[in-house]
Amino acid sequence: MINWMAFLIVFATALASSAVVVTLYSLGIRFLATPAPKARRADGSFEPDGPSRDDEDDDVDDLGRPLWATVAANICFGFSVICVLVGIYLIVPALHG
Amino acid sequence: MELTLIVLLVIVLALFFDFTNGFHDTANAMATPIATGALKPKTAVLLAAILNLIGAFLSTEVAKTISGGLINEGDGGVLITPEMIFAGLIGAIVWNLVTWLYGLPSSSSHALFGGLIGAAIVGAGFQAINGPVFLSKVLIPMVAAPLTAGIVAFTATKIAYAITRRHDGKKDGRGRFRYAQIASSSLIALAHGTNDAQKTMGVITLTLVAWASMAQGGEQLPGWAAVAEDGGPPFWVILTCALAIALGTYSGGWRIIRTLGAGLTQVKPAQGFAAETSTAATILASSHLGFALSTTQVASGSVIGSGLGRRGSTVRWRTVGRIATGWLFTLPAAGAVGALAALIAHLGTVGVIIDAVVGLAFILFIFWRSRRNRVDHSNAVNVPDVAESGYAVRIGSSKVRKVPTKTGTVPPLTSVAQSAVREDKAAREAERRAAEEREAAARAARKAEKRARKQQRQQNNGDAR
Repeated sequence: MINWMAFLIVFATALASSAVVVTLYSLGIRFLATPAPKARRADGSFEPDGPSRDDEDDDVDDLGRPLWATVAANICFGFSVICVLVGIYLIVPALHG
Repeated sequence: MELTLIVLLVIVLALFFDFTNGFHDTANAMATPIATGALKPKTAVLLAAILNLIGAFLSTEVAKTISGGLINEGDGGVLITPEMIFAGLIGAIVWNLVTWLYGLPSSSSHALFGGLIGAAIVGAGFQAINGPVFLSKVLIPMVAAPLTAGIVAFTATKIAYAITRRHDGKKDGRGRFRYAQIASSSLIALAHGTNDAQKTMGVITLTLVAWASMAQGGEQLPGWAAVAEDGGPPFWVILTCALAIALGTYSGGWRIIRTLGAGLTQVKPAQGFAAETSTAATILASSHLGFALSTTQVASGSVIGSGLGRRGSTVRWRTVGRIATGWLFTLPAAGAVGALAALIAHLGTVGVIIDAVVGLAFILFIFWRSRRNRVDHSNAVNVPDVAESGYAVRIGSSKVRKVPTKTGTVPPLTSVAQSAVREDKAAREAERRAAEEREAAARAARKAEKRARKQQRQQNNGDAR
């Protein structure tokens, strides 16, 4: 009567797909927020880390981000765009018949 | 003549129901981006309205049964007459407006089902209802939808924060989640348009079909009432339904936006994005994998789940309780109103007219009542906490100025914040004036005393001379 199997499938799909999308976009932001490589001090030691940060409204610092990070970020954002396109495909009946 | 009147009334009511459906559900897509500042309130509702309009034209499949199987329709079941639909629509609209007044997100489809069930029970007794379908389509999803969405959103929020959390004190870039919020909330709005506008199209189309089958005697139906051979709606139905839902969406149910965007929990960009993604994913999964869930219930569950997932946020369980109570009452309440309307409609044309007049009076009353505490784009989501969010207000100049903060310039304050500032200023002004008055009084008293003393001295001098 109640299709529990269908419910479980819906639950698992929703969980997996939103986890994928959120992971992709978050990774993109994480890559964008990659800081410049640490400068070595005169005595050979590195700058110490600041306190752990958990801010909500930060923008990213563009200064000195390594090129690989920018590329990786844009790859992640590209996949996120694909996810949006898949969403549109699923929403518009004419596209999937 | 009588039948024509009812059909016309049904069409008008169905379109108005479509309108209330639109403004009830704007919040599902746009409450979180408005709350985080990803979209300006008016931009958000405009975007949602356009996407609903597009979505309404995109949907091709129109409901085959008016009640989604809740009422035993067709062969051996209840014949759903235009009067029943009329009464059911009144029940649905009344409940939608009441929940809107209290800012409660509630499912418009459940309201419609409730109204129709009430009307059907009056017409055909309790055997009209299909019990198992009721359980599997209404009761179970009512628990399953928010639970599913809540768990999904909780997980998604945890993931988003875990990945972007920094341990070296550098900027974490979470403000950038705002861009993604625009995309995810747009998907929800588009999905809503394809789903919900066609419900009203189905109601109107099935009414036209019923009209055609009842008027076979000799009455000639007007040309506009012709339904396509495959049962699809005439173009004017698609057009008016699309416009009604878009207009409803644009008028923005600000009260419900306030509840979802700020009443349940304080929404931040990463959290809002996680909530919207969960809503979109859950709705798409449910509509493609055969377990229908209500958009409203999914969206509410997502916001709650994401609130639980973010460190340092609190969920206001009192509001959650109010919303859940609203859901429990949606079907019975809409059903009761629908049943009452159906009873009156049984009087014939007079009854239908009474229904229409009372219904209109109620609608006007609700809108009049809503003016007592206006909620609109300027105050739907308040500036949460002046100190906490880094918003600072300068008091002293008459204008409320933009204030630079660590993340850039804060937009001009909402009218609520502005009125708070005004009140604060007025209070200070009053205090200052009171102090001045006290001082003046004291000065006057001192002066009087001095004068009295002088007089006394003069008198003394006079006496001495």
